Amino acid sequence: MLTRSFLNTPFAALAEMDRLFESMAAGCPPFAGAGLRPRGALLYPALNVYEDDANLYAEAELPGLALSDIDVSVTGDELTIRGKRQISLPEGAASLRRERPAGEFERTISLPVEIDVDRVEASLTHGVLLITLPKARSAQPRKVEVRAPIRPS
Amino acid sequence: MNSTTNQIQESGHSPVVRRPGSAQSPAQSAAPVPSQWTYRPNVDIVDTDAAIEVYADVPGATGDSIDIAFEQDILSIEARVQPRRHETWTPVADEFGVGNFHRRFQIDAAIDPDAITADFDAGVLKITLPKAKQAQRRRIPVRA
Repeated sequence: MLTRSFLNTPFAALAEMDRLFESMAAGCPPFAGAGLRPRGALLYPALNVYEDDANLYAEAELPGLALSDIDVSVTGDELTIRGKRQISLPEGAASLRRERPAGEFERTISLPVEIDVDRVEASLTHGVLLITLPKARSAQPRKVEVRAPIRPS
Repeated sequence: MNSTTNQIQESGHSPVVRRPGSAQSPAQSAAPVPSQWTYRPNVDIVDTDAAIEVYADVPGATGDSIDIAFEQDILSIEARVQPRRHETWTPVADEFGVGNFHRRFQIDAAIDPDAITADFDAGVLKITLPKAKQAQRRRIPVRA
């Protein structure tokens, strides 16, 4: 299963891990269908997802990229992040350490609630991508007013 | 290329270090989350003939939150990262921690410390450590 090309392309390796994990997660109730995995899974980019009443927030560390290198797409309840990181180091220089991930990546997660696709926003600040995903109206908690019973006077 | 692989050594243990006084991981607490962990940034290091260049991924840091020191052949990189999670946000998935970055290297090449420069852009820190000018090779005449 491990071929040379597999080892030479970190993101391909990560994608393979992703697939493996996906198949494992399918049989594993806590993560089945959630599309969200435990800490330590080898996926790129790693994502932190938060929510409040109005939005979901997905955050990824993508240092060295411009917003134009990143493609964010949302369909209903799936979020996909695609991109490419090119690292150019001085030519002819001897490499002493190569740790930074480079190449193409793609990751899709399913979101726990329906999203208002038209109002999704993404920003990139100092290498941190933040995607704001407004929840569809139907997915937002609704405040129900509790009326006091009318008392007979 | 010349054998330069031994010019850079990891110095001290800088992998993920727990800070004193942090009882909880950020994901568990509902309050605004201060940086409680320190992380080891990924680096590329190259040796051009003129300099050692260090590229470190420090996403979330800013130019003025980074301290770089070079003393007795030890290059120390420290980047402070402000917590980004709003206090009203509840974690749904927690795949990476957010905290300060720290890493140290021992550089065995002769460096001109006054000429070290650093640039920061889009979460990437580039440090250029120009090599000291080699002592000129001189021919010593032998007197007879």
